[in-house]
Amino acid sequence: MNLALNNSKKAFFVILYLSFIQISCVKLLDIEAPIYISQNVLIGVLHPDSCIKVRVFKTLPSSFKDNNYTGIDSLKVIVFEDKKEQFILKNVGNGYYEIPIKPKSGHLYSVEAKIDEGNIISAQDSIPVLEVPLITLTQPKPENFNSNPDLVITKNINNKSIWWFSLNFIKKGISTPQTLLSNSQNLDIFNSKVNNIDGRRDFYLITRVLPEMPLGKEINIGFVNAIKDVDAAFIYFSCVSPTYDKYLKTAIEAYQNSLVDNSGNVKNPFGNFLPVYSNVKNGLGIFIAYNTKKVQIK
Amino acid sequence: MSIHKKIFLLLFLLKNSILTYSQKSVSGIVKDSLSGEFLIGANVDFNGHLLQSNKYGFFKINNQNNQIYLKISFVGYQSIKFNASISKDTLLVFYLKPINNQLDEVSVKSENENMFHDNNSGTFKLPVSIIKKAPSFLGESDILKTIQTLPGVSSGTEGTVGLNVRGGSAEQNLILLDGIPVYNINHLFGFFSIFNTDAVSNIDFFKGNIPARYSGRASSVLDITMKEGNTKSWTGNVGIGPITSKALIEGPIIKDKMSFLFSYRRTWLDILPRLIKGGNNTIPTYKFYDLSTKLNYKINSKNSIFLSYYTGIDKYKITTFDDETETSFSFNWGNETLNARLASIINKNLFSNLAIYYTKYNFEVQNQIKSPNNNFINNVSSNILDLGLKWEIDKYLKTSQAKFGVGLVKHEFNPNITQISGSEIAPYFSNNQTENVLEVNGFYEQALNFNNFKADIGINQINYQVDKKWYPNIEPRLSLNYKLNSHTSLKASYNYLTQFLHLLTNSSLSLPTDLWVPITDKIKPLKSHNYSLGYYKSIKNNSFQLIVEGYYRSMNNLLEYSEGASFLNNPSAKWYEKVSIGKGNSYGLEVFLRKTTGKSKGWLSYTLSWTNRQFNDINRGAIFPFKYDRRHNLNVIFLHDFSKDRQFSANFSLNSGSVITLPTGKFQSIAPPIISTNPNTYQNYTYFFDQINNIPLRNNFRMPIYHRLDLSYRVSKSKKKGQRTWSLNVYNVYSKRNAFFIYYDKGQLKQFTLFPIIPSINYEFSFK
Repeated sequence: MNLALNNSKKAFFVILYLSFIQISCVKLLDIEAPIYISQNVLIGVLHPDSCIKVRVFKTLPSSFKDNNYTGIDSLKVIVFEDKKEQFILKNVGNGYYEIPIKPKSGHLYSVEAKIDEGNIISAQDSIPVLEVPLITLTQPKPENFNSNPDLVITKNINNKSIWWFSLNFIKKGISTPQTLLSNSQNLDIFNSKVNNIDGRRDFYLITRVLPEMPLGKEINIGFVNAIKDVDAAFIYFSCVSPTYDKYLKTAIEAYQNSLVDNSGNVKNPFGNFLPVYSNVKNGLGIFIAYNTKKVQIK
Repeated sequence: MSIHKKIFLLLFLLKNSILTYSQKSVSGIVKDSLSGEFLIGANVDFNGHLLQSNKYGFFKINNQNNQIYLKISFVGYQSIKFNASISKDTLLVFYLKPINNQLDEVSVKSENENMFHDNNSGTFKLPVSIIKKAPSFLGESDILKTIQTLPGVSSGTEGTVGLNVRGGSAEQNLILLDGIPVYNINHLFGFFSIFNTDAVSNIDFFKGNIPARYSGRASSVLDITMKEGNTKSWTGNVGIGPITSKALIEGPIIKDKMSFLFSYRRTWLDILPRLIKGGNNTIPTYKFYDLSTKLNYKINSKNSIFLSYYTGIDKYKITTFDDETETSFSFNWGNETLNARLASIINKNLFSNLAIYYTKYNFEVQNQIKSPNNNFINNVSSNILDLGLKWEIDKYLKTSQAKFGVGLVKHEFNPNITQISGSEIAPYFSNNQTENVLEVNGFYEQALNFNNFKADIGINQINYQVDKKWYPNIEPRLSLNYKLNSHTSLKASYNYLTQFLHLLTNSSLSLPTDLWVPITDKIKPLKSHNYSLGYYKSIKNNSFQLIVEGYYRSMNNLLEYSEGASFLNNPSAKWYEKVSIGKGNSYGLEVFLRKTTGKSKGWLSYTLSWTNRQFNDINRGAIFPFKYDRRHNLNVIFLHDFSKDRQFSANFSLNSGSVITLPTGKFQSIAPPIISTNPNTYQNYTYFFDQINNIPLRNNFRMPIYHRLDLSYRVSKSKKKGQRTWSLNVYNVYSKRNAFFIYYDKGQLKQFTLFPIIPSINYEFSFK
């Protein structure tokens, strides 16, 4: 139940623009950037439906235009299950390592990549057990956009699962995530803003349910595009580990605080660089686990 | 000892010190001869003993002999000498003539004779006349921007009025307007201060020794006194510039007994969008204004009452019209203060000042949707409100003076009030974060004189109560002055200061959403220990003054948003769940060389400083430079009077760039679990997650050196009914492209410059 505070930064920018920025300018700088030290990066995502796969590679300086990261091959990369059973991953090129084994829910996995003698980068995470709430659709409501029904999420399991979800419409084979509308106090509003249409909050692409949502409570969610016009509609419900949750929140906050967009335009002059959470020891990157359920609602 | 016992003991001490002794005395009130305004801090030289008039121009001396000799001087005024035989206690009024009205203005020897007699280190009295003559940004003469040119003071972001004093952040400065704390000191996100120079009579700035009468902030005090209103005749002035227009009128309602002042200033910025509205269905408007009004009444020769009211508001609104629906988004923020004072001469040795006040800072963000079927309003506001009572007494001792007093303030913080209403939803109201802080304080300060050695000693007993928990603090203040010879002295000071509130911000600009928050039962008051040692020298009969001063400050219980947190990102979370507590320090060396006489005047200030911060969960616990850490900071102010009517001034700033956080490297990472085969909806995310920034340290990059030259030329001409003044100001004369911020764009470092050369013309007319 909060206001369009996220709009405020944009509003300030408009005022500044009106006042001063019309006379401002941007220029290329030919000065020494902060000292860059190459670092090793390990990334990997564990999911019960996918084989174990990680990548080890080198960072690039911020001053590089391209994103062609150099993989580190020929390393000994081991994955442990519950700190006991070992799987040695096979190097398949460009820093990728994999093994045709699927990780299991409720188990702890740790990875170690031996870069050289005494230099091992490592990380660990557990795959959460998949428990999803009850998902239903109401009857179409005339007061909604396009007379859409409401999507209702009911917490019917007494657990502390961390849920993220998105709603996708499939039309002519193209799957598109939808913007969701809600004023529920059981949703994390950190990546939402108040819309100027009905005062509810817009949740773009992906939405986080507050883990402290009480048992039996409901979340009412609306959407703008007409569900009756699409071929199919799915809810992707992700049950993520606390590590994944922390990573995702800091990464999305860092994205929201970006100074420039991907075209190089200044999108937020009040932005600043925020660090993204990492659980990798002796290096950078992230090694995270999650579980998903795809629920067809149409 | 309990708090109540301590307070009782302090009151008991105060009561005892009110006991007086009999002696022939001369009391005086120093005033401006033209306006009747009190001259605050006028120097009174009595047989080599130097006193200063207080906030009401009042001073008092005890005399053993019948014959008395006094010399009274004040910055910008012609000194007067008084020689008379006194046989009984006497109260006199001394009228000093402003120099501007003297033909021989350039022959005045010194503007600040008390530099070596004043025991306080790091204390500045800024003449309003110099602030008005100094170059200004878009023609708005600005007290705070002039203070930024003093040693030990650095500005925040370019063009803004932020004050960072000896490594402190902006909220560590106590800004007083007629003795009342003001929380928001700027308009337009910090580019203009709220203080209309036309309505100001006195400015005292303390950054070394903070006298014990001031409390509640950890870094500095800026004590601004507004004009009381001309008691002699009706005068006024109007002015117009590219950003604002302003007017001031003052005069006697009953001559020499009751006077009135009214000043108003407002922007033009809201008029332009209306003029160019055309067929647009979106109208953005922005404006600010400030208004001051004062009324004072002299009840009799010993008692006067003063009433003052100030309000300053910024308003931004963007309205969109779409068919039958009107959508608006607005921000309003500003201050309001109300103050009533009673100044009394209790007896020949005691002067009393009793004040009751109210001050409020408020910001409000509102979203409104109006359509034939709905009227939806979503409103979030935050405010801080103080109700205070204080009583201060000046006690005149045999060869010196003391000051003591007590104060009681109730601070109410409402950091997040949410109201939602609409025809289709249930009304919602939430204000579950209200915090009250009760402040009880008492102080005693006294000057001591021992030939070449002088001292100002003081103690402030300040107690904060929050959630039934008391935070008692005894703040000692000590300032020593050792006179090496008639031209040179050494000054040292130690101050312990505490602060009961914090300002949470994660922007380099002063945004209305910056959040004032109080201490809590878990968040303790900010504490700072401040040390300084200075060398003061007068050169060429005080035509030049040189100060070299070193300082060290340590700060504990500093508060910052945790990494990634802000009021905007998650307003539903309680503010204290989003903060980190840490410590900091600052140290440096300051040099100040001032020329006080002749046609050309001005000063040069240089500061070499280091300022650091450390928080357990910011920057992985490592020490990092404070965002306004500036290694070198040089400022030159130059003023030249070609004649009484033509003045030229220049301001040159050269300093190290401020520090910012820049990534050093990048790496691919894991994108969120979003399924999309539609490239239009997911492109930005994939781009971002393909190059996550590696940020090894906070504030790891210093921006390029900053320098800028501003010039001003003023021409005045006497007219039949007053005087008109044209002033031409040029900001950033050689259009140096200074960095406002720096960022990476596709691997290339780019710099954003906000202000190239900006010329402006102002017109002003002063009525006689």
